[in-house]
Amino acid sequence: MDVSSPLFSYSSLSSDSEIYNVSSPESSSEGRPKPRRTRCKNPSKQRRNASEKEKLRMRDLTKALHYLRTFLPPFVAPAGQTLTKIETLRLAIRYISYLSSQLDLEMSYCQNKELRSPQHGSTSHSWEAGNLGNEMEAFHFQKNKHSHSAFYESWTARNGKSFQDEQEHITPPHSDLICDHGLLEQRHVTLQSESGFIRVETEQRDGTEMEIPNCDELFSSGFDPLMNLQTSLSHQDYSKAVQCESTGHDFWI
Amino acid sequence: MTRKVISNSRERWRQQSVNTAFAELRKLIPTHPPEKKLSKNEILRLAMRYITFLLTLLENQRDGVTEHSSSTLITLITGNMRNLSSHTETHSPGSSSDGAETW
Repeated sequence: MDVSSPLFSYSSLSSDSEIYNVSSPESSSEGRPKPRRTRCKNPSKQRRNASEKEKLRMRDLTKALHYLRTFLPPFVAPAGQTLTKIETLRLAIRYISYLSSQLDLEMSYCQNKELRSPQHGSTSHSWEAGNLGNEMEAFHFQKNKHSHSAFYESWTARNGKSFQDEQEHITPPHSDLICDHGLLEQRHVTLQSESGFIRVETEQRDGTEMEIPNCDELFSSGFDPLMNLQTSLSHQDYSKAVQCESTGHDFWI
Repeated sequence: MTRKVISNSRERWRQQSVNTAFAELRKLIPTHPPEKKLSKNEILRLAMRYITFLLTLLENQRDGVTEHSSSTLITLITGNMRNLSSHTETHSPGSSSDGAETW
């Protein structure tokens, strides 16, 4: 199955609602221990409405999950490879943890940390400690760094040439960061062992570029509020929101 | 019959692990108040927003725009909260029922 094709999204949706129908809405709403009711052939209008609503809700959920998949870097969610729900969720968790750890590393000298929610803070801290601590984590750091730039490249391809300038900034600050934490030697070693890794990644990136038109189709089809929301929240808009604090507030609404 | 029992328990286990993953993802998303209950749909939507937000923040920091990031996080959270409240007002009332969902 191809993740990006519209056909896939359709088939997965229908299979989802099938699963839902098998487990029967009655049993979920009235509790399990009750004896099973035989399904009546002509359900009441109310029942039909409820089923329809539930089906739509499930469809929205599946769609949202599909979108989340497109938000993951192509390195972890390569084109042509299907991800299960649980995989998508776990990758999203890892990706968010990774991104916030990156921010922690970069912000640690100039930011106060009380703004983060308690759970979030603790996750970031453990990541930070790990990254500074041992070589394995240093390797992971490098690995993620590459996946990160791959993610940016896919964005560049998707959004046109406007991101090429930004992309140039990706590598140098990273090396500053490494110097900051006195891990230069350690990271150098891992960097050398990465050459094979980069090759693999480039191949995958080629695959990703082929997928991009389909992604755009998904983005522009404007099915439901979620889709509209996501199209409006393009990368550029986010940059604007961050850079212009005065307009940022209105933007998030 | 035993096969059905086994497949049922396997399905229950699968369902449970999906729900656990949702709960984990929820923990990563900053909200106000932090313990606010979110539906699965909201968790996914906010996760996407948050990923984009973090990427932008990282990008800006690499470009040297560091001084605004804390206030931007506040903006994100307040924006999210407003968005959620307007979403729940207009959307289905049962959107926050989380327990007996089939995935």
